[in-house]
Amino acid sequence: MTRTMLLAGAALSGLAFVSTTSPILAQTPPDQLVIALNMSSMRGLDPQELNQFEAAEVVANLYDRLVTLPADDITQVEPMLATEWDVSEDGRTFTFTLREGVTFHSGNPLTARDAEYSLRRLVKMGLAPARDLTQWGLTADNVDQMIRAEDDTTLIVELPEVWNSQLVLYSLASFSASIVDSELVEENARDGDYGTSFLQTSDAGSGPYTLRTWRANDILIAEAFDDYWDGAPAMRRVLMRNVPESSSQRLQIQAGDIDIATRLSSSDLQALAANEDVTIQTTPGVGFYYIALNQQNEILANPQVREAFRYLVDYEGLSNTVMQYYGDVQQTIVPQGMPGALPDERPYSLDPDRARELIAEAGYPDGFSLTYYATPVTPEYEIAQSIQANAAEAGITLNLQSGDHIGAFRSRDYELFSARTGDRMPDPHAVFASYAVNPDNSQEANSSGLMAWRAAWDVPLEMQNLVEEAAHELDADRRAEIYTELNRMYLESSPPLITSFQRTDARAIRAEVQGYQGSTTWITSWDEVTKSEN
Amino acid sequence: MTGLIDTGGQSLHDWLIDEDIKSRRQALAQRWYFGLRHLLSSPIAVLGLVIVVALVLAAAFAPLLATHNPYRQDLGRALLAPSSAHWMGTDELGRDVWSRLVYGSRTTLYITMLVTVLVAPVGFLIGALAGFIGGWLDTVLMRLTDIFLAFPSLVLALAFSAALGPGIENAVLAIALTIWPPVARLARAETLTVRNSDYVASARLQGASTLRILWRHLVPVCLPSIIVRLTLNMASVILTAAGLGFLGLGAQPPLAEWGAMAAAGRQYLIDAWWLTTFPGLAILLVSMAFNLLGDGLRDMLDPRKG
Amino acid sequence: MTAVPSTSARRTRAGFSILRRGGASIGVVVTTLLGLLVLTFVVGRMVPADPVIAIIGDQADQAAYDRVYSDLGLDQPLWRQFASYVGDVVTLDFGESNLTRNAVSTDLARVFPATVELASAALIIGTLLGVPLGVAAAVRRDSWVDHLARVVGLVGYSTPIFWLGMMVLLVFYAKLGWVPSGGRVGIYYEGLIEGPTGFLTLDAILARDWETARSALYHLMTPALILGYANTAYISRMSRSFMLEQLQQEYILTAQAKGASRQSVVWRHAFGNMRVQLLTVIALAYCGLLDGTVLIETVFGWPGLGQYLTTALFFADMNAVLGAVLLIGLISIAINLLCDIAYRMLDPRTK
Repeated sequence: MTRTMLLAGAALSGLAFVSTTSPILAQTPPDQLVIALNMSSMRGLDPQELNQFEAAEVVANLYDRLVTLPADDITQVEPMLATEWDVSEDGRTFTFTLREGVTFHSGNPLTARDAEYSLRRLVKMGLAPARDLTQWGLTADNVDQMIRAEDDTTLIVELPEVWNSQLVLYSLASFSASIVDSELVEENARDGDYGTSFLQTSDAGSGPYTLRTWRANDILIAEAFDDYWDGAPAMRRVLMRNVPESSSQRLQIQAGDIDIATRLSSSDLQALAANEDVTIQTTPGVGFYYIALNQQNEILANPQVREAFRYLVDYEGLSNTVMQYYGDVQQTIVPQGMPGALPDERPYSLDPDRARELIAEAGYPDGFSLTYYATPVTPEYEIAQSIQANAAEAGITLNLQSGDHIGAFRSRDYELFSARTGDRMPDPHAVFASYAVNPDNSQEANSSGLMAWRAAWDVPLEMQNLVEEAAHELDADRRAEIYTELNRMYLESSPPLITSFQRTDARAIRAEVQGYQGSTTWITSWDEVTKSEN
Repeated sequence: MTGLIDTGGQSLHDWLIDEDIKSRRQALAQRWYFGLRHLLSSPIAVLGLVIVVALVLAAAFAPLLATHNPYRQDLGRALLAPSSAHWMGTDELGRDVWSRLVYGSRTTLYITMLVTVLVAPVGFLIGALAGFIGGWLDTVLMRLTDIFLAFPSLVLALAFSAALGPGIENAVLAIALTIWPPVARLARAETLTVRNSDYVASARLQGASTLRILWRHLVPVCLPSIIVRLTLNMASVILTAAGLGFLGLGAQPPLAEWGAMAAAGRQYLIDAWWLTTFPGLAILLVSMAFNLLGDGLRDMLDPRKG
Repeated sequence: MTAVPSTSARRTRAGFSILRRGGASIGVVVTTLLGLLVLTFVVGRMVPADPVIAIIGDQADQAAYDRVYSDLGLDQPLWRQFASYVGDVVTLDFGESNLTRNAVSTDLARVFPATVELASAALIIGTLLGVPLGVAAAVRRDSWVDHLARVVGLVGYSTPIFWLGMMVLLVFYAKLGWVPSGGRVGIYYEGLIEGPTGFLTLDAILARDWETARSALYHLMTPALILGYANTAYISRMSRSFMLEQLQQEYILTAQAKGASRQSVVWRHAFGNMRVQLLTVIALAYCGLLDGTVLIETVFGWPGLGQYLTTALFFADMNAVLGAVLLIGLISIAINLLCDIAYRMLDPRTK
């Protein structure tokens, strides 16, 4: 017995030895960038398939696009693979001249054929991000005629209708318009899947980084591409690690184990803001924290009931606590800083008594009871619980059900639902095209990509026409005018898609890291990043 | 007291210790009486009993014990450290942690009671039928329990409650689905010991139905061991429920449930240690109490296995 | 601690045995496996969240939805879905995970070694501490060792393991900085060692990469100790009761009467006789550990089967859930089966 106990003791003291003598790295190496994030929603790296914030950042660095939007001036279209472009006089034809001498990571040369292949691939696959191009009238049937390479360096993109050319260029700067190595993808295609099962976990790009390792929900390692046309980036390796816990991320960035923390709770961000070694960066997003009220529900279809919910959000309390770094109070529908925005228009505040009056006027003096779906992640869950408590004070019982309910929302099989949206186009059109366009509200139409359809909202025709008009309008001032009008109309219509906060994405960044600028359009780039000596 | 029980003129105490047992009822009553005395003679079991009673009292008098409304939010007072105003601090929505802890005792009690009510009869019925009737029914039922037993119970509960959807009733159902097999096994074993006994045989000869035999003869035999089994299992029920709550599959907001409270505190672990620490301690205390009580009960009903 | 003791304890007590009746017939094993498949299949079909959305994302149009729906075979009748499910499982094809875009079997092969590594380390700790503690408690009944064993057991049985993990992180990581926060290895050692066993610590040692090995061991230590403690509680309690049982046997008294030393009586005679029982308990403890790892992996960000399962559950990644649950079920059945066989072969009484 004593011998066994000795053995056990020896084993334990061995463990203790490891623990006390193990070095705690004070800093990450000067040529490596370490990003901590919650990887669980990162489900694949095929640029023409994914539609997700974190994966988009990876793809943005593995691939190049024809044009790009710099993070510090997101409305300024800049050259990337295309050195110049030209819009025909009728506004329907875009001609891009491609950079010469660019090679993919595979060594294959990048030509206009690859660009043609990639954009056609996006439209033909018809998955979530395809809307970037299909909204301009491109379809699987016409794309072979409309998008074509004239020669190795000339790409033509033709549209069936005239649209504001800036909007079209924004779409081509999206991660979804990344140019893939057509030869490599075709080699790995399996029975007409456009090589998607290959691209989900591999890289066929020409960007500043190559994919070294990706283990889902664990780690992603990217390495610098030495032959990048714009010069090899300063960071030799970028490591992304799955650290789902906010508190772990906070401690790790304090200790210098990681350079960038991305999914911190407001209280952790608040604590880090006081730390000199760390800066907090917030990036505004083209999206909102919203509550969706299903209009198929008789109670919720009442405009007064809809308005009552606007009085159940604790705008002030939330913005001082959980939302401090996650969003800015916003009751209108055009994001701040964009044409048509109304920054001072905030008619609502928390007022359960007023809400009670409104639902009484609507014919529900005794209140009502509804089921409320929300996702149990911060800050959505805190918002949902806050709304639930305020609703209770107004006599409304909300049975909160946590879980991944996005499927029910898409198929209109819910009563109340709240979450947040994120669009990528730096223009109000992106928001209106989803929140205020719903040409056919029938169940059969199944326009499940549209927020308005999901809310079963029969959007007033006048609004829908204005959205259409603004997208075609070429004159910037006139567009701003239309959007201002639309913004007001939306607010006054007592919409079933209630916006409470405009989304911001907060990151904590070590002070020695320079040049990491979160992008509103999801294409945060790593190749400008440097680290100062300490 | 004596009015309730016919003690044949003796005082209740004398009747309970009289070695000259005159009726079956007296034998049974004596068995419980000695057991109870045995239980109360063990300080450890008494401690368990006291904590469980305290839990019941806390649940019953929650409105009196709570210093605040457990559901009342105040974002202006979020994440306050323990103080005289908030004994255990406030949570991320400004609710009083102590008050939520007190009301959480109701949730815990609700879960344990419901599981017991579901599992005891179902487990008994399956086990007793398998043991009493035997043959292919026995094979099928026991094969079924084997399959359930082969799974680690949390994984099984996890799978079930994910399938049933979140919510406390579903969590209870999922837990019940994982703990009936040992109860059935136990009921079967107890049934086998008396199946061929004289009094069951004579009852059969008198034409008693299976149901009647189960009720009259097998329930009294199986009940004590099922109770002990379930009490011992209560700790694991509480821990499993807390685990489900921790993974977001148990109680839904705003209901106060200790596992979910501890889980919510995870987000704020560094600055607000009280959010996780107190609910965890409460779970520890109550499951420990059930373990102590269960051990005591087992000693009481079956001193051999001490 | 969650369910670790109860699951396994109730098994040994109730005499859980797949081969209880009729010997090791292949038929019994097959029906048990089939039942397992029915169970996982039913559970999988009951999951409310939409697996199609998980694949195509939240903004795709209906045509894309319909295509994926039929690709997944969801438009087929249920019995046909089950039949093809069984066929797939037999060929180790668990489908593709929506979350990772890999074949589930590939994912399982990747995450499983991490769990085995953690559970094995915990089992070693639990055995090394639990057996001597339990034996000592039985030999010196009602001494301080016995009381210590009781307290260890009681606390171990009653502590919510996820909470213990969080408390350890709070004190030893956040406040004291003695232990790492999570993961399998320091981030700079990521991706340096791959294979051949999948147990990172072992692989690093085989590759003579001492730095990585140390980092891996350092990360393994905390979760393994916590799980190991839960195991100690269980194993020591069982060892104690086995030893007590042995010490009351006739032959022990005889041996003692013949003048055998106390040491020799305890270790040669009593321990020798309880070896088989103990082996069974340790094997069953391993099943219980699979439970514990689910929660501990979540707390410590350990990229193993448990974390894989909970993430998949949350996102309704049906194939991954079914694959992981099935794997856990299969392992448990296999362990139980091996225990039975070992018991039959080794136990002198069954010979």
